[in-house]
Amino acid sequence: MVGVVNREKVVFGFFVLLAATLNFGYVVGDIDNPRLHNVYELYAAVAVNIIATILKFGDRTQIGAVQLATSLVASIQLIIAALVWIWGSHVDAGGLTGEHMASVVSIAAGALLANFVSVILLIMETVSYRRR
Amino acid sequence: MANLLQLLRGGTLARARPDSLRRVRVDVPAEPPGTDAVFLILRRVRTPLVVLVSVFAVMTFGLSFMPGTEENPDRLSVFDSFYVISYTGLTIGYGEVPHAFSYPQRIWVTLTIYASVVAWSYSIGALLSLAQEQTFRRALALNRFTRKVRAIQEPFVLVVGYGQAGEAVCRALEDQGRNFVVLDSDPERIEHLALDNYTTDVPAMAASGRDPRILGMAGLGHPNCEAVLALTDNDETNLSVVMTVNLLRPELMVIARCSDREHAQQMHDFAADVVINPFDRYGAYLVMALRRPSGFRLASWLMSPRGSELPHKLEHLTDGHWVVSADGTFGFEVTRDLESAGLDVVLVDPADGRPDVSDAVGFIAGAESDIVNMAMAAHARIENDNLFIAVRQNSAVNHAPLRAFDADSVFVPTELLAREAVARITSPNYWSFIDHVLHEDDDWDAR
Repeated sequence: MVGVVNREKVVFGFFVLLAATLNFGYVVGDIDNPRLHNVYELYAAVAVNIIATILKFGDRTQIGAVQLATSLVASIQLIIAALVWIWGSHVDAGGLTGEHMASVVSIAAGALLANFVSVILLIMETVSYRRR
Repeated sequence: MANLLQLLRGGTLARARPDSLRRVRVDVPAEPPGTDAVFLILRRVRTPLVVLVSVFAVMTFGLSFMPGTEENPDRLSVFDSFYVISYTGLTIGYGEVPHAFSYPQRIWVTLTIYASVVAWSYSIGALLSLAQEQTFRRALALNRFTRKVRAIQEPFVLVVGYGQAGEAVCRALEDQGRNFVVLDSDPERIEHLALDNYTTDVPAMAASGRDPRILGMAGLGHPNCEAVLALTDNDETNLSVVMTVNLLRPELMVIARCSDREHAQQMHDFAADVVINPFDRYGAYLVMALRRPSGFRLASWLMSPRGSELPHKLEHLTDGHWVVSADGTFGFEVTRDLESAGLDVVLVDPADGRPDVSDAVGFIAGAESDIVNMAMAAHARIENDNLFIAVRQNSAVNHAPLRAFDADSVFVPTELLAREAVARITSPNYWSFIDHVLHEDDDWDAR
């Protein structure tokens, strides 16, 4: 590859991919089994997604704006999943049940879809850049 | 019939106006030349925000791994850790919740306190430095200006150049209750405008009128824009404004200031409605004052500010020779005008010392320095008490001494410019009446 690599794009690519992989890792497994879904993975996915969203602030290009939108959707979904988890494990008298777990994981799976779209957009942008 | 070739090129067919050089209708550009202030802020907050989020994330994660005390051996849950880090990181500090911490937990919270203080001071510092940055402030000012211009509901005039002439025009426009937008490349003049106490809020921006995008932001594309005045002291800038208006909004009225014939001709090529060369106009007025005193009285009274009295008549100034002491184009223009009126004129250079005026009927002190003019005029008055003395005043600063001197005619280029520009813009009918007066013969005026 010739020329200077755009560091901003590399950093963003890193965070978008990390968000998607963490999100995917958390969602994989039986939907209502708390032992198969590590809360730290959810936590890391939330943090990384928020950072990926921030990295798209102030991008005036069309594709940058869409990436901001998808990252924002994923962040909101993951934060909601975390809130449900907090409700289940700390507030609800019955503790973290399979029901709670199922809704946490399904909301996180929704976020995963948004993260996939982000990754696809990233790939599209990279490919069109190479062609130029 | 429409020209099919033009349609093929993709542009909208321009409405035919014979004196516009436009062939294709193009929208007036209004894209801010700098970056949008909002985007600028968002770009700059990225790093501070990422730093803050990372500090909070790492500290929360770490705290949830620190072992508990002997009484409460369980580690803090992710939520409890987030709670503790939130109030610690935001320097609120509730103490040790939900129960007393173990030493590893306390060590970690201590670390958190210092890390968050560093992160906050970095972030706030970055934002404050952004607020002080010139580019950012300019972007903000540009945004504010565009918004103000866009919100104008009534017809307005776009004034490019806020020097002495621009200021005089703005005063007169305000006196007539009209709206205007001001552009000047000198930020000091724009600051000055804020102190000038206009009754309305005048949108003003320190930017060059040479940039069509700036003109677009200043309301060139606005449906309520009705005229553009190019009054800068730079002929090329004025020409650029005339060209832009002619090509992008040919239906607007353009009045331009100009100080030499070449540029005036170029402006006429671009169909400027009015090109005012103050030097040339002064000669014309002077000739008129000599040849047709009544007409001059009427015209100058019509162009004076409201409430002025009729100026006194001038007589017996055509039988004798005139002395013009001037440098640059002014001497050339005035001499030409006076000669074409059949007068006997002697043009001298102010650098050659005090001219001999003992047997002249009129003397014009037209140097570029007001002090030199005053000195020459004073000497002329000492030498010949009946002399008609005209003095060119370049700076408004010297208004008071010149008034005390009470020359027969004081030529203030910027004032003349402003008066004509305002007369033409306030009412075209009014101006055509003045124009009529200017071209009638003296018997008509005397009536």
